[in-house]
This record gives sequence, C-alpha cells and structure tokens, in this order.
Amino acid sequence: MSGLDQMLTNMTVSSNGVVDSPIFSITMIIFIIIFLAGLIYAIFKMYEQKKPPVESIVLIAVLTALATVGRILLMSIPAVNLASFIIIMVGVVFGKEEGFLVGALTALVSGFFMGMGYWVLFQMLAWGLMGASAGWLASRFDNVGFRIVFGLLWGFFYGWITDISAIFYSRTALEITPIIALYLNGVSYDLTHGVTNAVLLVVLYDWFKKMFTRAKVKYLSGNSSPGEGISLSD
Amino acid sequence: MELTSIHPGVYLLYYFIMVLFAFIFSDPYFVLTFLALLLILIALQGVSSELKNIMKFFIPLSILIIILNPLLNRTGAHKIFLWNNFFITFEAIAYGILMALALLIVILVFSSYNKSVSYQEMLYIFSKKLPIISMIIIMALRFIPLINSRAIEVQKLNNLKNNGIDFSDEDECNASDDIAIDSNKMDSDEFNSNINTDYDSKLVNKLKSNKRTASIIKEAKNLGKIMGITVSWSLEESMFTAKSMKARGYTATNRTSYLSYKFGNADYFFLAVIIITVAIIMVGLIKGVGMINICPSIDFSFSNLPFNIYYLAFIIFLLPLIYLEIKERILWRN
Repeated sequence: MSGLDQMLTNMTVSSNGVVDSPIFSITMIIFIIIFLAGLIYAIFKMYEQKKPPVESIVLIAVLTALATVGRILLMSIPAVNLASFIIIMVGVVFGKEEGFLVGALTALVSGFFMGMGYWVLFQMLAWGLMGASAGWLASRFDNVGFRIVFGLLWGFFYGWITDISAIFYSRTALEITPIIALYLNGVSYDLTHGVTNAVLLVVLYDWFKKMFTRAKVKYLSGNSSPGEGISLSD
Repeated sequence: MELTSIHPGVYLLYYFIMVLFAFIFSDPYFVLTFLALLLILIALQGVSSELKNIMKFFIPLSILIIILNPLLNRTGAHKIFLWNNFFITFEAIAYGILMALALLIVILVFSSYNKSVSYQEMLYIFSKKLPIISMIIIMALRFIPLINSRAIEVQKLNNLKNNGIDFSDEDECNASDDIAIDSNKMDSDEFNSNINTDYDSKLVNKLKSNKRTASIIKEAKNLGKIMGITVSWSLEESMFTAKSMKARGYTATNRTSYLSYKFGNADYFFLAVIIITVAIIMVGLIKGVGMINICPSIDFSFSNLPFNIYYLAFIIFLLPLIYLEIKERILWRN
C-alpha cells in the first residue's frame, strides 16, 4: 500500500509552478474554446463559399434531422444512439465534407433539445471528425472487419474528445490523476457506444449504403450548378 | 414575460463571461455567492424539465468526484489517517467539493441561458455570418417532428402486418410469442382508439421490458426496419422540398430574418455594467482576490471576510438579470 501511495504522490507533485497557476488554466480554457469555435466556423464558411446547390442544402438538413432523431429517440438508454451510425454512413457515401457538416450540425441541433452548453463544441468536433474520417477511409468500408474496428474505435475516440470539456473543472489545468479518473470512468460508456456502432455497421451497412447512394445519384448528379436558380431581378 | 428585450449578442457575451468565472473562482465566499444569486435567478425564471433531467446525472457524478478525488490525489499538508498507513488529505477533499460546485454552477448557468435566449434569437446572430448553415439548422428543426410522425406511421403499419403473420401460425407459438401477440393486440387497440400514441417511449419501454434475447432481437430487427423505411421515405420526400424551393427562387436574393433587434438604451446600459464590473474583477483576479491556493497547503479561513471593492463588483455583475426579472414582475402586476 505504501508503494502505491508513494507512486501517486510522486505523480501529482511532479507538475511545476507555471502549470499550476490559475492564470495558465484560464488562458488555456479561453484558447481552446476560441480555437475550436474558429475551426468549426472556418469549415462552415468553406462550405458557404462554394455556393452549394439547393439539393445539397436540403440533403444535409434532412440527414442532420435523421441523425438527431436517432439520438433523441434513444435518449433514455445511456450510450446507445443511432446518430453515430448515420453520421458514419453519410461520411462513407457522400464524402468528407458532408460527413463533417452532418456530424457537427447534429450535435448543434440536438443541443437545442437536450440543453445547450459549451460542451456542444466538443461534441461537434467529435462527431464532425467521425464523419470526416469515415469519408477519408471510405474505400475500405466494404471489409467487414474494418467496419467493426472503425465503429469500436470511434466509440472510444468520441468519449475521449468530449471528455476534454470536463477537464476544465479541475482548477489546475494539467494534472494527470483527474484526467485518468475521468477516462477510466468513461470506459463502459464508450465501450457500449462502440459496440452499438459496430453492430449497426455490420447489420445495416449494405441497406443504408444502397439507400444513400440512390439519394446521392438522384440529388447530386449533374443537374445543378450554383447559378442555375431562377433570379427574380430578370 | 419579456417587456424589456435585450439584444441576443449581449446575452451571449454575458453568459460566456459567467461560464469563465465559474471555472476561475475558487474562493468559497465567491463561489457560494455565485451559487446563491444563480439559484435566485433560476427561481425567478422558472425551473425547466431539462434541468431536472440533468440533475439526475449530476448528483451521482458529483458524489463520484468527491469520493474519487481524495482516493486518487495524495497531495496536501493536512493528512487524515483512516487506518494504519492509509490516509487522505484535507486538500483533496476541498478540491473535490470545489470541482463539484464548479460543475453545478456551469450546469445552472446554461440552464438559465436556455431560458433567456431562444434558439431563434441564437440563429439570428449566426444568420448574418453563416446564412446557409443557419438555414440548414432551421430546416433540420422542421424535419425532426416530420420524421417523428413518419416513424409513428411506419411503426403502426409494421404492427398491423405483424399481427396478421402471428395469427396465421398461432399453433406453434411459444411463451415469448404470446407476449408479443398480447402487446401487438394492445397496439392495434391503441391504434384504433388513439391516433397520437407515443412512439418513442413505447418502443423504448418494450426494448427494456423484454428480458429474453429472442424477443430483444426481434424488437431490434423491427427497430432497424422502421428506421430504414423512415430514412428512405424522408430522403425521397425531401427531394420535393428541394425542387419546390428552387422553383420559388430560393437562391435569387439574400435571405432576410423575421426577427430584428436593434441596440437600445437597455442594451448599452447592460453592456456598460458588464464592462465596468468585469474590468474591476479582472484587476482583483490579477491581485489574487477570489482565488485560493489548494495545493500544496490550503490557505483559506472563514474569518477572512472578502468585503472589498472586487467582491462588490462581482455581486453587481450578477445582479442585472435578477433586476430585470423583478422589474418585469412589478410592471406586469400594475
């Protein structure tokens, strides 16, 4: 027992004076929040700059709504949600950018129902990255094993990214034990989330890929250039 | 009751600073004042059901923080020996309690924020910079009840279909199927009597109540089927929405907002109060007022009363919304 005490004491004492000062932690909080908000704003702005066609806008809106319903529907069962699966599928079929947008907007829109807070920023980042990475690795998704690993891993990544928001509560910013406690506390939650993702990706992958591909062909193939809309000034 | 309308941008700034203060302050006097004034504000604004839900998660979490922190964190000068060699430190306990209080304050701040700023007001701020994204959000908010009603319809059809199949081979039913038939009968009765059956809670209750794996798999299959059909239906329907929007000239001119806010006298007054008090509080923070050192040794005693200008500024910073609520109540009565 004393050995363990010694180890824990050494671990917590080792941080130096600069890191312990409250001013440092305030600066870090402000920096992280502004950086995240700026990053998400920049990606949204990039999408706006492209002047997307109406079909693309409606498609993203309806996919966001579907993912949000998938999250709100199963709100009473902790860690089980259909939103992650839909976001991954959007990333696979429609691409990186749509995946990120649908993921980030799902977190934002469900925030209107489940309570808005600064943690929504971290959920936006986590789900956005989930969709974007699915789009990035889309070509490997036909392999069943890869799908299982991807779903499981993103259960944990999602938990780890969103848990950064809770680290702020510890007054000294970079202390290791509260972080370890926090992440150990989340393991069962993340595992349930990951297993749900993996099961859904095995069972429903083909059906959803077919549906989304059909929608993609029908919506976005060749018909719409940005300037095609009717202009009222003529 | 909204007689004095405040610009949503001012609200956003005010609540952002409040959250930062919740993280920064660690002096128990400041923290308890913050908590007390926030509770008064929330009592005036009315307690929402969301807050009650969040509190169910918060209470176990805060207990976990208070218990786990002394066990994992051994720094601190004041050791409390529980038995033989095993000790916890007073500093770690204080640290855990302050962490839980900070968490509580942030939850309360956001609960109050959701009462003060509606989502339309929030989107009003974004719609100037990000018109397309705010359009997507508004459309998604419209699609959610639509998708929910479609899902209810698909589930009703699914129940009717399952009834037919189950009755046809009734002979080889086992016990679990009997349960399923009973619930299905009940569903069809409900379908006849009451059209607005609550789709999600019923489904979730079914998922929870059926312990047997066979019926769970069956329910999961049903859920997957309902989900897929709803998704494909919604995707098809939204195509019409897109075409219709295009035909009515969606991209022709810039979008305008239904709501419009102008900076009034109340906004300037509110902003002035925020800027002056925050400036005073920041000076105090740089001098070290409002924060205490916990590691390595706690330097706080309840006899050090914080009656100085910084504490006064902190109280004044928290008062404007309470003042507005009380003033509106008085105006409303007269």
